[in-house]
Amino acid sequence: MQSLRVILAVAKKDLSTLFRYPTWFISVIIWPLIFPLLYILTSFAYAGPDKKGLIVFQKVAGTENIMGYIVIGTMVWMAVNITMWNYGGYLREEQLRGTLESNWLCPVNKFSILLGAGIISMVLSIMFSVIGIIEYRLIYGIKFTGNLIDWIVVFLILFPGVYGLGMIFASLILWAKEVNAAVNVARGVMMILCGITYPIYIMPNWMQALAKFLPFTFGIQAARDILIMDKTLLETAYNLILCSGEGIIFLALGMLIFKLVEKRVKISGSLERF
Amino acid sequence: MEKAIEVRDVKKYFYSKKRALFKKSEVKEFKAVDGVSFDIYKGEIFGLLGPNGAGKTTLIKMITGLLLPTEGTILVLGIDVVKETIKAQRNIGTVLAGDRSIYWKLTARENLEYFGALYGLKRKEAKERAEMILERLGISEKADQIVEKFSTGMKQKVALGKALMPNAPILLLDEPTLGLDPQSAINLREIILEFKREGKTILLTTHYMEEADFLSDRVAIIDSGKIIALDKPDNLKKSINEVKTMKLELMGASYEIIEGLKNLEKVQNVLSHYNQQNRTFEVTIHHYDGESVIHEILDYVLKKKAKVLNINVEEPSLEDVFIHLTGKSLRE
Amino acid sequence: MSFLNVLKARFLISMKIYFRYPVNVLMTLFEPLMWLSPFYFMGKAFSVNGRIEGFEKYTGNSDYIGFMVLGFMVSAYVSMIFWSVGFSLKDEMRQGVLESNWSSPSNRIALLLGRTLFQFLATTFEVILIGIVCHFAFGFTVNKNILKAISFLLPGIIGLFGLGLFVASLVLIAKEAGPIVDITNSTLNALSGMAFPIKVMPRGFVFISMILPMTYVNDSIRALLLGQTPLMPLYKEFLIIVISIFIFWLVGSYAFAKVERKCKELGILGTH
Repeated sequence: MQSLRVILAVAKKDLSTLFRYPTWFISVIIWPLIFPLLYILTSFAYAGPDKKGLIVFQKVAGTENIMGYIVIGTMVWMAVNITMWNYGGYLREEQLRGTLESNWLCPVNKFSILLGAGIISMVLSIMFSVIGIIEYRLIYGIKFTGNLIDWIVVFLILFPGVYGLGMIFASLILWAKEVNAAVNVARGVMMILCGITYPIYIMPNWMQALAKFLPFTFGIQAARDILIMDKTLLETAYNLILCSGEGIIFLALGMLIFKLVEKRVKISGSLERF
Repeated sequence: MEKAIEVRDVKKYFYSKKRALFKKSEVKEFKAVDGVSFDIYKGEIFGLLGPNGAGKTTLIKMITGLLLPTEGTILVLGIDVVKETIKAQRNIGTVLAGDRSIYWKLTARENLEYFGALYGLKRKEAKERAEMILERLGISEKADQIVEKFSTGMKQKVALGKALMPNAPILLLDEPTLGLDPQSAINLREIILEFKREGKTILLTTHYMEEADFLSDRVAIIDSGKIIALDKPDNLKKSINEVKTMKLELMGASYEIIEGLKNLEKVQNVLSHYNQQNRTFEVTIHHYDGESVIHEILDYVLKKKAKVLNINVEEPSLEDVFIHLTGKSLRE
Repeated sequence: MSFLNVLKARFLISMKIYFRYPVNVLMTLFEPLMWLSPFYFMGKAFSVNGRIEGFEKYTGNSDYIGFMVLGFMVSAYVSMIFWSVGFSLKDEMRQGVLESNWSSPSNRIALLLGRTLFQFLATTFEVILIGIVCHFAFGFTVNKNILKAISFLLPGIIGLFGLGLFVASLVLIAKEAGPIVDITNSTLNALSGMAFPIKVMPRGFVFISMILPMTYVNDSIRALLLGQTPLMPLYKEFLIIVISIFIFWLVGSYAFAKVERKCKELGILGTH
């Protein structure tokens, strides 16, 4: 009960700051539109002026809706990316601001503060996705399949993995401080392995094997099955289960690392601002 | 008397690794707190006086459970802070040094209500208590403005209000008047005295000796991680009663001349501070003999062709106690 | 301090800062893999026996790997200029205002040159690394027309410095410069055909591309090093690139002088 109160209080505090300074809203509108464009236009180049290349693509990817195929990949990638920067950097930002210690002084399980911090990132990812889908439908004319419940299910199964990864970073940053490079590498690895613009079996076998350790690989596949290939939840159950299963492992890992780091900073005393 | 806080043989060592390429890494040990024991009784104001870097903040952070002691135990109302951190934290309201401990982008009220939630208050309780505290600290008019626009004194009040939210029996105040203008500092001291009247136990760190003297029932003087004296302010001052303090303001002096003062018989400590604005030296001299040594000092200074602008013979202060014990000034 | 001393000092400081963070060099190795993989594997998804027929119709051959790696290399220079010239001018202006007695005009230019010269060399070093990494990862390779290609690239970069002045003026007026630089930089890269042949875009955009000299830098380098079909005869492209130097420098320095004066009047330089 007390934890829930803390989670909500943290979320309320963050949201009121977020909406008080709404400059970020422009990027919520612009980035989903621009980011996939490079890939989409490149795919047009590969397809050729007469679009005959799409037949080749369809054979390996299972759809010729290449725009839909790409925007789903980039949408998931962007959601992970925002979460990594926002959520992954959350504790560090509190630390730079000087408010981290004030929170740590309070008689609560510190993990619930981190949980509460996730809510704002969730709100942002939902906004990115919803605005993205509307823009893709209206501006790029992409047709999506499936119904709202299916879409929500896809969002929910991606959730544990995304937040697990965010937690891992949030904790490590407290300890290591300079983690920009690590975040870059992590999102890069995801960009390479998860198949944001191509089916993963195009890659060499060893890369495919690595890709299967990332829940997002399955999440993106599930999202494509539902949103553009008109499959049912049952038909893509394999991807759904693996995505959420691996996601839960990420989440558990995130919790574990948080606990370890929480203990460590108590010894080294590196919570304060500098 | 009942004990509110018990600190037993507490040590805190920090280790820093100096990493260099192709060399073995060196581990450096820094003793921030080096074997400290004391008790704080219920209902008193306990002052922790010492220069910057003496270990005051480290000590406070260990009492609040932010830092683990390397050795020793700390009990808050009988609860072991290391073993039952959360339970101990419920009994403490803390203001850490500086005005950065609250959210600048939230209003004063939002800050208080937020921390209220983290201290386990129900929504309604938090609202009422925030309202009451805002009223009491005299900031209810600006309660719904964003803290960013507040003056340092106002921010400090919000931080104090935050510490009051849990209505905990113990208050830890780390340098509460740091950076405040004199009037705000006086206001804040008044408020602190009020809390004492209400029966709260207060631990206060400061490097302003007047503040420690004025507020504290008992003062512990801390230097280089060790407590070097602990008593009522009056007793501390009495303890160096045979020592007399003389303050001189000199023009046209030099560090050499001031060094020379130390060689005079019956002079114990000489501290100097160069005032750049007035181009004068402010010299504090501790000596044993009130009469003859003053002549000697003046003779010496005049012989060296320095001009005496001002001369004062003063009652000893806590600062003098500190100088007497360590040979250096609090402000160093 | 003399002009040369300032230049040298600035250069050395930049170099020290750069090599203090070895992570920089490691990221240089990793970044091309990260950014190019989605294009590379997507290309694979489109290819039959190593050929992409559709792509050939646009460029003349199937070397989509060479196409994207060269585009990435050129974009490294563009980004370098956008970030370093834009921001170093801002820094330098700020110092110029704070220490106006010290900074004579010749010193100020030396400061700027010293910093960008270093950036240019560092980027070249990174571009070579990119080439090596991509050779092993994607099988990237070029023919021996490298010197010719450089003779197209260099004037293009000099022109970009002029554009950098223009960006610097934007940076001076805008409070939050990061997003502006980020968006203009990516847009310029995209429109000049960094990742794809410009002809795949809608007509309006193709028109914009055709007036951007970077388009011709990308195009001519690909024609020379990969044997792809250029948009127009190479001597014409060279001419356009050279003419653009003058235009960019004229417009850039005009805009910068104007903004600088405006900022001094309003006194907003120090407020950032």
